[in-house]
Amino acid sequence: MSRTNTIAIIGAGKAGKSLLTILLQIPGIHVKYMCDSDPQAPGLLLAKRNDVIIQQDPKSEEILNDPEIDMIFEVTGSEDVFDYLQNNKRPSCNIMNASMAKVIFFLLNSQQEVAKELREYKLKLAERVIERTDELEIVNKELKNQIEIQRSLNDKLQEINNEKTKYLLNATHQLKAPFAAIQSYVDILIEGYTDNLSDKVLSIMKKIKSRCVLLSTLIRRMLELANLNSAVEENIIMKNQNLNDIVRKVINSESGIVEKRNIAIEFTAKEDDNSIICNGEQIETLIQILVDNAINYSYDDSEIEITIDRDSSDRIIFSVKDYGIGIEEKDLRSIFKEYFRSYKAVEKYDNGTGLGLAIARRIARLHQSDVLVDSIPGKGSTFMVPFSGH
Amino acid sequence: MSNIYIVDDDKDIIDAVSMVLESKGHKIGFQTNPEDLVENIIKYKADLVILDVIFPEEDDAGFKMARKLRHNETTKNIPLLMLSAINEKGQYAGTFSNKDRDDVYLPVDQFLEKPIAPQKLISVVSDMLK
Repeated sequence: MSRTNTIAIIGAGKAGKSLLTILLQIPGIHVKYMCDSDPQAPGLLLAKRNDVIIQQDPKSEEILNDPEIDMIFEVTGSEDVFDYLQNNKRPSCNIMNASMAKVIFFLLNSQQEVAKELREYKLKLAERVIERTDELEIVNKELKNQIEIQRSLNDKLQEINNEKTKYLLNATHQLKAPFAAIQSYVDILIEGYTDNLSDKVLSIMKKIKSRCVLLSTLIRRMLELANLNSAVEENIIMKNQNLNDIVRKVINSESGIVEKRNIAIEFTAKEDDNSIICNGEQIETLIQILVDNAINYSYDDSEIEITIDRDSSDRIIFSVKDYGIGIEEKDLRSIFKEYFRSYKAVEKYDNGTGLGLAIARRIARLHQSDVLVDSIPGKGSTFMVPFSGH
Repeated sequence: MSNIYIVDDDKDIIDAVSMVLESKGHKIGFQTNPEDLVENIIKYKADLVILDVIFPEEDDAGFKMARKLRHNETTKNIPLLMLSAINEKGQYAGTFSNKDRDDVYLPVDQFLEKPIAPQKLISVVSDMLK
């Protein structure tokens, strides 16, 4: 409010008291005088308490002449008083009689009510805000706690994983180290670094060597399977890799055995780039297993066809087709079980571990795929793995 | 004929490697733990050192030894061949082929897996001695 309105109330009865009560609460209004001929009038006590100047004469010259007074409320109900004040007030001073004051009183009262409601509303709003802030704080605290719990769980998992990787590494070493010594000695004997061996001894040494190879493959495969079944970090790393390169690497690694048994491996890739997002080491193991199987269950002087093709939905299909012993229909489901080997398979190749296809399927499934098989007993088998392209 | 020094906790591997390399006229020195390696190798005047990776007290003793040899003025240029039964998923050899990290991670010249394939060992060692 720009300036203070100074007011005099004439009449300190019930109406005057009510009017004073309201006016005292309005900022910018200063009630300077209250006036009543009855010293016991109910409004006077309130006036005194609020430093309002008390006057007894309703026609007080002091009030009429005070230049500060902007407005006089006349609430005595006496027309005589009103007329007197009307006629003797300064021109700049306004005057209101009881009935007009009633209207003003009503308006002011309503305004007070609204203001009061507004105040209460603001107060409630503030309470709500505080309440919500408190709630938010609680939620925040809970979230922080949860994050903390999550973090410590993660740390723990990481720790377990590290320990597990370390354990696997140690277990591998404990199994492989003594065995490597045996194998080394066997090779030294077979390759004649000591005395020359008789044919009979040599043939036995070669059998020992062959069983050594099986055992070392078995150790490697068992550890691979154990490793695949745990979420160690190396299993989760996925990179963009060209399947063609991995297949070529595997085929190269087989060149010795393939030459010895006169098996021709033919590799065709429809596209130069058959990139997939994968764990390269796992996919190499998967392909190695399927190609190894194709070689091991092929007859000598035969052919193996490896292809990487695209199907109608642009999936990359890796397949290995051999013309070997094939798989009986009753065995088709069992070949993916750990340690299962059919009699015919054992007869053809007795150094199998029975773990290869279990590992291959596990790896395929880790890549949202599967190993599919199609086989005619005595004619050969085709193993396929579809990958969603990059 | 060269002086070849082997560090392996497995005496049988030392014997096997010795049998193979002695057949080619090399002289073999050895120890079964990493203690005083640099001094021993200087004393032995080794032309090539073969290191195992995992030792009973330390999983990566072989790497530590290799780094020690590389940091010594006298031994830093001796060819190092690492030999280990552990090469699952190319764990070590794979990193070995990563040229960016060779110097820090695997400061050796060659890596062979156990068991020892005699022919392979002979050809790798003779290449390294050239």
